Amino acid sequence: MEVWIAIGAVVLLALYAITTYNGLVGRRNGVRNAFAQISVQLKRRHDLVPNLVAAVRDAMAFERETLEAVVAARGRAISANERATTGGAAERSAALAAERELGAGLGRLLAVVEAYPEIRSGAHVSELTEELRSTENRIAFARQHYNDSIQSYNDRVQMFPSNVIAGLFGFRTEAFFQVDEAETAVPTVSLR
Amino acid sequence: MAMNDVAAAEQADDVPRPIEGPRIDRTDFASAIRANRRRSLMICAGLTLLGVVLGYLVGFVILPPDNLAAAGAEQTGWVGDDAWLLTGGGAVGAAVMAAAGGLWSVLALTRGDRMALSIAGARDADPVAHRRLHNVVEEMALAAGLPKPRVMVIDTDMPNAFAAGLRPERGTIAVTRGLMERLSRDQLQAVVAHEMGHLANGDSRYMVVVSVVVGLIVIVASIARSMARFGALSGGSGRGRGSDRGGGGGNAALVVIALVLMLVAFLAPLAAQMMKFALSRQREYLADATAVKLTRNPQAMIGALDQLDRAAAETSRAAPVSARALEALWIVNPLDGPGESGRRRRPAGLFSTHPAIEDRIDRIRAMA
Repeated sequence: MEVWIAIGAVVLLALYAITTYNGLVGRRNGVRNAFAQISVQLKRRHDLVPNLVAAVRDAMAFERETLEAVVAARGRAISANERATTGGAAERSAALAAERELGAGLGRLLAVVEAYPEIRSGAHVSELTEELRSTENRIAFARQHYNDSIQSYNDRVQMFPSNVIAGLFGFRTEAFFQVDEAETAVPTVSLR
Repeated sequence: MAMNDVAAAEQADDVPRPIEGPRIDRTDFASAIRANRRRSLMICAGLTLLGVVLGYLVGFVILPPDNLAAAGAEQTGWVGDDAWLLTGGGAVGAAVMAAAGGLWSVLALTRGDRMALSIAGARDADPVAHRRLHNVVEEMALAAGLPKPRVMVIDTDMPNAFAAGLRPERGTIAVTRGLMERLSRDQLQAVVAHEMGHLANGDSRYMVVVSVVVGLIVIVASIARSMARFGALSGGSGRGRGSDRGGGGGNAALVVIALVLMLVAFLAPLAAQMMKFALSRQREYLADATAVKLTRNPQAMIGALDQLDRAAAETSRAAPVSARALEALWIVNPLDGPGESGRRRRPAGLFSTHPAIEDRIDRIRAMA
C-alpha cells in the first residue's frame, strides 16, 4: 500500500515537473517570438521610408530638411541594426536610439503631410500615411506584446512553486523593453 | 454579495453609481480572464447537469422501471438494494441527453462559426479597398500576440461587428460597412480589439457550447411538459404496468415525480436562458476590458460604444433578419429599440444578451 502511495506521489511530482518545464520553455519561446516580431515591424518601417519620401519630395520642397533628416535617420537605423545583430549590449542600445530617432522623424513628417491638404489629398500619399501610421502602431503594439510576454514568463520564473523548476534548469528572468514616453505615443497629427 | 458591497463602497468616490456584479480589477486582466473562465465552466457544467436531469425525468416517465410496483410501497427507491431510480428509463434518458448534447456540440463546434458568418452575409474584405481595416486588425493581432484573423465585411448600414472562431488561432473578425463609415480610426481599432478579445478569451467557443446546451434543454423541456401530463394521468389512473399489485404507494410516488417533472420542465428552459444571458453579458464586459488592455486607449472604446449605441437606436427597426439569429454575437445588441430620450431603453436585465451601454462605459471608466 505504502509503496503505491510513494509511486503515485513520485509520478505526480514528475508530471508536475514536466508540465512546468514545458510551460517555461513555451513562454520563453513566446518572448523570443515577440522580440522577432518587433524586428519584422521595424523592417517594414525601413522599407516604407523611400516610398513615402518619393511620394512627397516634389510637393514638399519647402520642408526639405524634414525629409533629409528622415532619410539620414533611416540609414543610421539600418546600419545600427546590422551591427546589433552580431554585437553586444552597447550595439543593441545604439540600435534602439537610432530607431527612436527615425520614429521621431517620421512622426514629424506625418504631421507635416497632414498639415498640407494638397499633399495629404493625393491618393498615393494618403495611402502611404495610412501605412505609416499603421507601421508606427504595429511597432508600438509588438513592443507592448513583447513586454506582456516577458511579464508572463517572469511571473513563472519567480513565483512559487514553478520557480523551483526554473531554478533547477537555469531559466532566468528577462528585462523589459523600456522606451521614453515620447516614443510610446503614436505620432499625433496636429495642424500647425 | 458582501464583497461587492465593499467594492462598491470603495468605488463611490470616482464612479457615479455602484457597479453590480463581479468586478473586473483595474489592471489585472489575467485574473479577470481566469475568473470568467471559471464562471463559464461552472455555468456550462450547471447547464449540462440541468439537461441530464431533464433527460432523466423524461426517460423516467416514458419508461418507468419495471420493478417499481413489484418492490412494494415501502420500498422508496432512494435506499435499499433495489435502487430503482438508477435503473430503467431515467438512466436511458439521461444517457441519451448526454450523448445528444455531445453530438450536437461537435457539430456546432466544427460548423458553427462558418454558419454564423454566412447567415450574417459576411464576405472577405478586399485588402486594397479595405486597407485600413486590414491594418487595424493586424495591429490588434500583434498586440494580442495572435496570428492575424480572417477579415470580413458585412454590407449593411447597421454599425456593428462580431467575431467567430472556435480557436484563437483560427478566428474571423467581421465588421459592417456602417461601422467603418461612422467610426474614427481609433474607435475602429477599439471595436476590433474588443472582437480580438472575444477570440483571445475563447468566448465564441464557450458561447457555441452554451447555446447548444441551452437549445437542447429548451427542446427537451417542451417534450417533458407533454410527457409530464401523460405521466401524471397514467400514474393517477392506474395505467402503470404494476399498479394493480403495488397499490397506492407506487401511484403516489409517480404523481409526486410527475409534479416535480412539471415544475422542472417549466423552470429549466427559463433558468437555462437566464444563465446563457448572464454568461453573455459577462463576456461583453471582459472583451471590453481586454480591448482596453490591447489598445491602452479607453477613450476610444467609450467613444465607439457611445456611437454604436446611438446608431443602433436608429437602425434597430431596419436590422436585417439575420441580426436576430446572431443577437448575442454582435458588439452591441442590434435589436434594442430607441428609448424616450433618443437613447436606447435600458435592456431588460436578466433576459438581455448585452449589458446596458451605460454600465459598460462605467466599467471602462473605472479601469482607465
